[in-house]
Amino acid sequence: MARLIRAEIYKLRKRSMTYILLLILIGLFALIMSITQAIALGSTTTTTVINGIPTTQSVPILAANVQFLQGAITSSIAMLGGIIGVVLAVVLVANGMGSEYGWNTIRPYLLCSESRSKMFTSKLVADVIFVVAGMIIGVITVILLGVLFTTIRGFSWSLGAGTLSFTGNQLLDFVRAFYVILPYALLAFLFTVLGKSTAAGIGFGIGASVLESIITGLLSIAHGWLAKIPDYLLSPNISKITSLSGASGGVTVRAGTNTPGPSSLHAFIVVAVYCVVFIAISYTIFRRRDVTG
Amino acid sequence: MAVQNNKDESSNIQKEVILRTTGLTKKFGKRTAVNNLNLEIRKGEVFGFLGPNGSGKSTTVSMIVGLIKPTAGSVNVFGMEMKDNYWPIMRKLGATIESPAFYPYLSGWDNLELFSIAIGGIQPAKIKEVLERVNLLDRAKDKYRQYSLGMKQRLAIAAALLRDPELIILDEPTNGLDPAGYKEVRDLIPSLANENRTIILCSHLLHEVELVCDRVAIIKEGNVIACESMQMLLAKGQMLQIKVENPQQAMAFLKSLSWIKNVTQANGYLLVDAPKEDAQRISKILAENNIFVSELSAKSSDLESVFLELTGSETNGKVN
Repeated sequence: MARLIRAEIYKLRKRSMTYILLLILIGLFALIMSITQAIALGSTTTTTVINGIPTTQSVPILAANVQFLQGAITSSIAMLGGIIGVVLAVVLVANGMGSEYGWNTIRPYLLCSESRSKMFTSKLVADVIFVVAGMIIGVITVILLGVLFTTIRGFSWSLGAGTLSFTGNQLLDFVRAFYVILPYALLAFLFTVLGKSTAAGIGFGIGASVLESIITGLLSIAHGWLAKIPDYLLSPNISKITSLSGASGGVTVRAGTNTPGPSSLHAFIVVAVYCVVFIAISYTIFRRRDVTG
Repeated sequence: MAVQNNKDESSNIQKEVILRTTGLTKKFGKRTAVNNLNLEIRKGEVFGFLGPNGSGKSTTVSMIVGLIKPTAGSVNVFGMEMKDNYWPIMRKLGATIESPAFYPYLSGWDNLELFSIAIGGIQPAKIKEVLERVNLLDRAKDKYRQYSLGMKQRLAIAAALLRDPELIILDEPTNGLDPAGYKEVRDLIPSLANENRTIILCSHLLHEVELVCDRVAIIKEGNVIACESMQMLLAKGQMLQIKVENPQQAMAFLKSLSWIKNVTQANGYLLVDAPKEDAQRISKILAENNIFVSELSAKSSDLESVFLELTGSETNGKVN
């Protein structure tokens, strides 16, 4: 198994697409941070209640009060668990498997693999390693840029309540971000195996989240058992997990309603079940299907 | 119904059976691609697997290496059942199946290095050795996508040799090769066999099979229609060419003889379906019946004519 994981890492390491995806991630983070630091010095809004009427005012802020680095780390991890992380992970995973079918390398590579099960597992393990590595590189990029902007613009060096507690929270958010990427990446993997194509994997991996949002939105206005369906779809549960991060207020409601969404435990279980189901189906197909030219 | 070879030379019978298929069958929906295939391939032989495109050759070899699961039957290699001993068998089996396929963004060397990592226990020296053997060492660092089809074929053979296999399956290894490359591969096959390796050569090029194979199985529509040593197969197509003054009379007489299978007439000659050992006997019996032979020669057959006779197909040196 270790041999096959090494071989998978070798493939991804030597492939320019891996570095292109990483550059896109770094580029996006750099762009977002540049914009953020530019507007951070402008002004901030405060809401005050005067005579029972909330009033929003624009107040200029001092650079020394802006905790830029803290905010950058927190929001970059949240972005990794959002659309940026999902899209990049889906493209990486779908390409890794889809290319084997596209180039027909699945045939000679299987002949060099100890078993189909081990080849399948090694692919998933290598994908996980590269997704996590990409996320770590993304966060490091943000930290470096955050340090740079903090130094240049004279922002506050404060990291909040305490560095240890802040680091702990960020690690937890990082794990949550990975956890919410996982089902979409596995869905992409499943459809890549099913359709023997990268396009099928990317299409379904990304399309599923869009489709689910539409379905969730529509069902949110329904009543009775129909209204309960979104609790068992991916996106409301992923929203719940995402809402637990430091970048969010920790509250999630169903779109268009004031009804609270699923509980945290429910969300973690539903996402885990989806992951297991996606792996089980793709494994069964991969193991049983004939490899023909 | 498969035909099993029971008539090989005694030397072959002594040799260890390295691959045996028993009742091997593959159905894709209602279509039977391979039907009840019973084959025995012996250690050290070069075994030709011949048949038109779509006859079931690649399906058969794909079942042998585990890429396609048989609907029925079994594959036994090196005395082990394939379904229970996949990796112990594959560790000693090298194969090129259908067209060559490698990672286009990697060089030839890197592709082999990748396969070496996956297989395990292969040193870089072995990569160099196999690339040298297929005459590709000087282009080893070029990207695979820059290779010609001939170079891709040679890289596929190099990949098959990486694990120092006892059994090598080469599926159409000369496809796309120029005459020089074709000769190189043709020379490589017997040299591999001389190293006590067993080779299964799948091809639709009749001349190629005739030149290098010890035994041949001919497959048509999923059924083996012949499985013989090359010598015996070619002997099947041997004819005696006879010129006489009155061919009609001679033909009628020869047809009356029970030990002569068939007599036809072409270009003023009689073509008698009989081995050359019978030439003297035929000449004598014709003379005894006042039919005098002015010319008599053995017309040797080639694999193409045998194939044509067995399959009823048309060929052009290739089986399409």
